[in-house]
Amino acid sequence: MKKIIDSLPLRVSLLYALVAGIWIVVSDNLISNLGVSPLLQTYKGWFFVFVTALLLYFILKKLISRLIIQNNELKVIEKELQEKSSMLNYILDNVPQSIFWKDINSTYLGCNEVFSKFAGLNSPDEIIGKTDFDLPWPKGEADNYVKDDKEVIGNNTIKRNIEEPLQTAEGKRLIINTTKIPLHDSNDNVIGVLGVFDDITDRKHKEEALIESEIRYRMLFESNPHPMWVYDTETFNILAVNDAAIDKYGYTKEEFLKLTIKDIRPEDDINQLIDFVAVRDEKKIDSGIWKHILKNGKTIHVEIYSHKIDFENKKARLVLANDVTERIAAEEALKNSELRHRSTLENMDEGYQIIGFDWRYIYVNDSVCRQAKKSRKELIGYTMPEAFPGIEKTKMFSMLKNCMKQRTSAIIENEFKYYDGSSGWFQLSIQPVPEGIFILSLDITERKEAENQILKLNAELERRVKERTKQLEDINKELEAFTYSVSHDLRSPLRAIDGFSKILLEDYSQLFDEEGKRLLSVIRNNTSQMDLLITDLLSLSRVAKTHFKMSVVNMKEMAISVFEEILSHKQKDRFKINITELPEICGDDSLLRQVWYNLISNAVKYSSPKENSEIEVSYITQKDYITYYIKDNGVGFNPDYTHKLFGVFQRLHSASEFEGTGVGLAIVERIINRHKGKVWGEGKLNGGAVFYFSLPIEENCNERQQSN
Amino acid sequence: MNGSSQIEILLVEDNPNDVELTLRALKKNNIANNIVVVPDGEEALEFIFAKGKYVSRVDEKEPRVILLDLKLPKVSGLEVLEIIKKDPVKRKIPVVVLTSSKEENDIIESYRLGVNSYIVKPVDFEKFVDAVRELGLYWLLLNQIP
Repeated sequence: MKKIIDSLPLRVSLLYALVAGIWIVVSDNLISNLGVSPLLQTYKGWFFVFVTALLLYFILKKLISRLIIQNNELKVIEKELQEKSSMLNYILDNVPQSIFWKDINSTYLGCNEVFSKFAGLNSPDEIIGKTDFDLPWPKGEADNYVKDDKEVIGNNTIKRNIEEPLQTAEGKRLIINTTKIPLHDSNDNVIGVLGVFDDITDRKHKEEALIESEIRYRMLFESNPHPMWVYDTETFNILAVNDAAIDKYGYTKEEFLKLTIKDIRPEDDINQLIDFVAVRDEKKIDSGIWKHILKNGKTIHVEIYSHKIDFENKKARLVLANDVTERIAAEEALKNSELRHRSTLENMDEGYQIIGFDWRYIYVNDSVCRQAKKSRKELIGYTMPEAFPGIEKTKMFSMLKNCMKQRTSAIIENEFKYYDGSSGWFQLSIQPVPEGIFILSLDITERKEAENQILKLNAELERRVKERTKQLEDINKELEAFTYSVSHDLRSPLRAIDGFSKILLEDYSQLFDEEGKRLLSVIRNNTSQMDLLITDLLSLSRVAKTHFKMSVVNMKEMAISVFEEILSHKQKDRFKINITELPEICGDDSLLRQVWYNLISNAVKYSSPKENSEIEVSYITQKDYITYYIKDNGVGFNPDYTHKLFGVFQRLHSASEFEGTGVGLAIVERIINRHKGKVWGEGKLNGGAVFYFSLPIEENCNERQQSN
Repeated sequence: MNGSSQIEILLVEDNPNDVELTLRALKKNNIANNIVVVPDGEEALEFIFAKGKYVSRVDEKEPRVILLDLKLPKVSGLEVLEIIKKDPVKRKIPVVVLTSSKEENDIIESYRLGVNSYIVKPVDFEKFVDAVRELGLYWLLLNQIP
């Protein structure tokens, strides 16, 4: 506008001078060439006036209209400027930031409302002319502010984001973020500095807290005793992993970060895992127990918790894995053992029941139902007297009551009467338990019946044994009476016959001729033979009756002494007797002596007719027996009759050949039998005889006391 | 046979044959003149304790020896022996069991009850005579009673 105003008059004057000059130069030539009349000379002036006037008119018109437009434009600009200025003030006063500007000497030129309040001023105008040292900042901080101003002004650069402290007029310590911009005049000379700052105290604190919490959370992740990792929910790649996971799974961190979470799952679970991740997108998932596979191939059970997070701009989940392998194993074992116990309890033959303190059935197994002839439904929840009316009057119930009250245990055998009149025997073991009492019941009906049967049989057997014993005792008594009679009553008549025969011979001898006397002596011989028979018979019966007294018997001494007894001095010379060493044996002394006596007297008797009789006594040792034998070279016997050797009254020789009753060997056999031994004989007619008897070797001789 | 002089032998024997043989044996050996024979144990006790038909014997001397059979009617020889040997006065009379039995039990029981001698009567009469002579000699001639 100013240019226009400065150049316009000049341009108009120059244009006029140009037009007027050109006219003066050319107008005469033009007119002469055209042959125009002198009149035209006159018009030539007028024309010039007219052209210049017209020219003036247009120029002026254009200039004036331009001026008017420019004037209007100026008005609009002025208005806009006014609006802008008030807007600026409004903004200045209403932005939350503090704004101030200073001259190159850091003297304040202005500030906004917010700043003035921090500075403790009543209005922004009061700042003008003040320096930082006039404001309530501490000196050191004010120095820093001025230093920054100088830097900005000196370097002519913007200094952004200066984080610095600020102390307000009220004494409040703030953290501010300041940006300082150099101010220029129209010639780009630095004329001051504009500062803008934000109160970032809260943000700063929040940031610090955030950092702190981030550190904390990182630590929670890194140092968590439970394995943790972060995985990408789209690729399943493991993005981060903590030390516990590295320890637990056996992979290094580098290996881990190359794996996907599918790699630590068993083959069979992968589809399930993919489905799970696809479907479950909650912020927090407690996804339960999964099987994981360690690097070494071992399978573990882990309880998985996961959080949805954004990790490095990826959709991810933070996972915490809690190893519950041992717990699962323990639970499994517990479950198995419980199952086993339960199934054992259910299936065992013994009844198992728990009765509460209120006498209600708390638990019964199948056997109890079977034994009680009631279903579980009829028992559980009912009291004993409800289930079995009248039971409270039984002895068994008072026993249970006692156990319940005294907390004692007991074992009883009880007959249980059913409604249908039948009954069963049960052995009940009662134990106090926290719930009340526990009863283990065993059906002993069969055993009881068997016992009763046995008792009956025993009684019957005892009765029979008594009866039989009585019979035997009677027979024995009869036998004893018989032998007693034999020894007394049979002898008396014999004695009478013998005695009176003798008296006849003594008193009436002159009445008898020789034949009569011979006949009387035959009578007397027979009486003596009869006496011998009776004696032998009695000694045979005594073998069975005598009490056994076991002791160690010196067989050699015994054999020698029996020889001494039997053989007279005269006879001794006729016999060659050889007795070898004989081992001791356990037996009844007097009975074994009888054995030796009978065998040796037989050997002597049946050797007597011969000259050079030899008798040998020796033994053979077997495993459990000692066999003694006596061998002679006498008349021997016909081996065809060997089986008759030991029969009572059996004789293999006639009475005229050898005296005897046929009882001696029978006695021997009986004695040896009573010693649980054996006796047998070998012989030939005129070829001698050997008699053997074997006796068992007893370890503890004195303990084997036996009676008949 | 009863006399005022001391009874030398009381023979307790039920079998008349044995009585006769015994008496003959005694006579043959000239051992005793005063012999009383009783046929059962009951009478033997009546005689010894002067009871029943023997009440009159109260003041008489005891027999010097009693020959006692074991197998007797009414009261057995062992019972007689027991009663005699339990009586503080009569126990000093020598009692000789003279019997057919050689039963061990009888022998043991007799000695337990305090018999002075136990003699088995042999069937052979000659041996019987010998036995009687020996016992007579011993108990009547050699033995001194307090």
